[in-house]
Amino acid sequence: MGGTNTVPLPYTALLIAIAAMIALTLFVLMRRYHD
Amino acid sequence: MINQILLVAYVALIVLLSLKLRQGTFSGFAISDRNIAYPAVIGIAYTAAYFSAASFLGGGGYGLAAGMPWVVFCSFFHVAFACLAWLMAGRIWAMAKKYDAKTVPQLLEKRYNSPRGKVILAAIMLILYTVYLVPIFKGCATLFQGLIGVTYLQGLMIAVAIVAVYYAIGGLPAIIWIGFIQGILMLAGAALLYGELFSAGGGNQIWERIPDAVLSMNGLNVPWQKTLGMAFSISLGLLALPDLLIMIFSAKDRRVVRFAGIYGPLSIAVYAVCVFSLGILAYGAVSAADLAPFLKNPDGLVPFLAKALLPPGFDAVILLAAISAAMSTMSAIVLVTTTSLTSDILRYLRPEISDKKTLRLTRVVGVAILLIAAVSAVDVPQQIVPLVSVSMGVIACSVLVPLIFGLYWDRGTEAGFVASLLASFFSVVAWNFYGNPLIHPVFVGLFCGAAAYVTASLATTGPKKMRLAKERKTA
Repeated sequence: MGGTNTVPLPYTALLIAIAAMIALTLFVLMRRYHD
Repeated sequence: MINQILLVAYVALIVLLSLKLRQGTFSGFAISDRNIAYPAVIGIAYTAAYFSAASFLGGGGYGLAAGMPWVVFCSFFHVAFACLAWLMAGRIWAMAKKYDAKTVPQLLEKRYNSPRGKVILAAIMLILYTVYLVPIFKGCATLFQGLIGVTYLQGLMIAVAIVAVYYAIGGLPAIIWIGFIQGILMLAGAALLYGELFSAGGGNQIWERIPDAVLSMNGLNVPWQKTLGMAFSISLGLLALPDLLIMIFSAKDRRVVRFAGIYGPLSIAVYAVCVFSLGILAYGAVSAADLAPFLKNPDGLVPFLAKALLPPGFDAVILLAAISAAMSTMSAIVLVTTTSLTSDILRYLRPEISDKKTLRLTRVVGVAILLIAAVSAVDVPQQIVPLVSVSMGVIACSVLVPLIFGLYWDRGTEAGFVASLLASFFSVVAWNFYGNPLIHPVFVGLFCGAAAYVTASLATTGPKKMRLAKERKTA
């Protein structure tokens, strides 16, 4: 956060959570597709 | 001059597409005869119909006052609900196909065998969607002012004319295909502005320039709890708004729905992160003195950033993206509002009306609703976000409870459906006026709607079903 030029923790957590949610959705949708 | 040329090209494309997609039957007009075979088109049109100018302007600017919680909660809930919506979409599509439902009230009518419930829901949609259109018109007219320098009134007239043309000629197919193009434009505009803010703020160094208070999860000028409630209730629409559900109805088969489930959540994620972050990123790219006026009027931030940061000509792309956001939402709303009146209410009262007459009425009434909303937008309050969230919240609650229970719980009955509609509607309206402002009315509406649904369903068929189950066991 302030004083560093790294991405703030809440923002990093948000991006990871979004990636995880989308990956999980795709996994479920595609698994059902192959069933 | 370049702005005028861009707008003319944009309108020409819309008119050509709607002429190519013109419809002659009610089923074609209302659900595209369930023949759309392109998952990307449905997925991105869904995103475009969901996000309106309020998201681009209000959503982009609100982070200025609310800080990091706005970005985190809003983006998170949008993606989470979009994922859930697309996970349920296959079932919704199958149910709509099975019942041959052309509107959301018809889907629920057939699920619960309740013409009465259909009419109540259609009436709620008719009134509240028309209210919901007003602030979108206002945003759109303001954008036209910025784009081509016309007056607010002229901006309103241009907005009505464009949407009326493609709605009345092409119906849902035009709305979806034009929505797809508008969605691409919105995504490009959002990404462009997001990238430009990073570039103006020195890449990753932008985080260093943003004050700690803005990046704190405690919230800047708005308590984080309030932001959480607002983000949740705004995003809830993704799960149950009828103008989005009809996009699912229009798919050719279940495979198309499944693949649309890739494009839907992905486009929502890109757009949400880019747009909702604009408010906090602005602190790192623009001086505090320049930002001060927008703390009171957050809707002006995005047009300001586009003008201040992007090269000449590119700011027009951002304005056109925001106009697209408004129009894609308006057109889808007009369609579901009008069909709720003509196909659901009118046909309930006069079942003998032919398809041809219903189609003609749907075209005419749609244009009339656009005009009513535009006239109401001539003089409305300044803020966009609160207006949208209340009317949309009622519709979302009214549809969400009977839809989810109807999909996943066999014991729901007509009494439960009607009770949930009335409970959701009255509780949200009452809480909006008299309740604690820290608790968003949508939470109350969801709770009351679900409680009324379960209680009334169990009270009406619980014992009978249990008896049947017992008989089956003993047999």
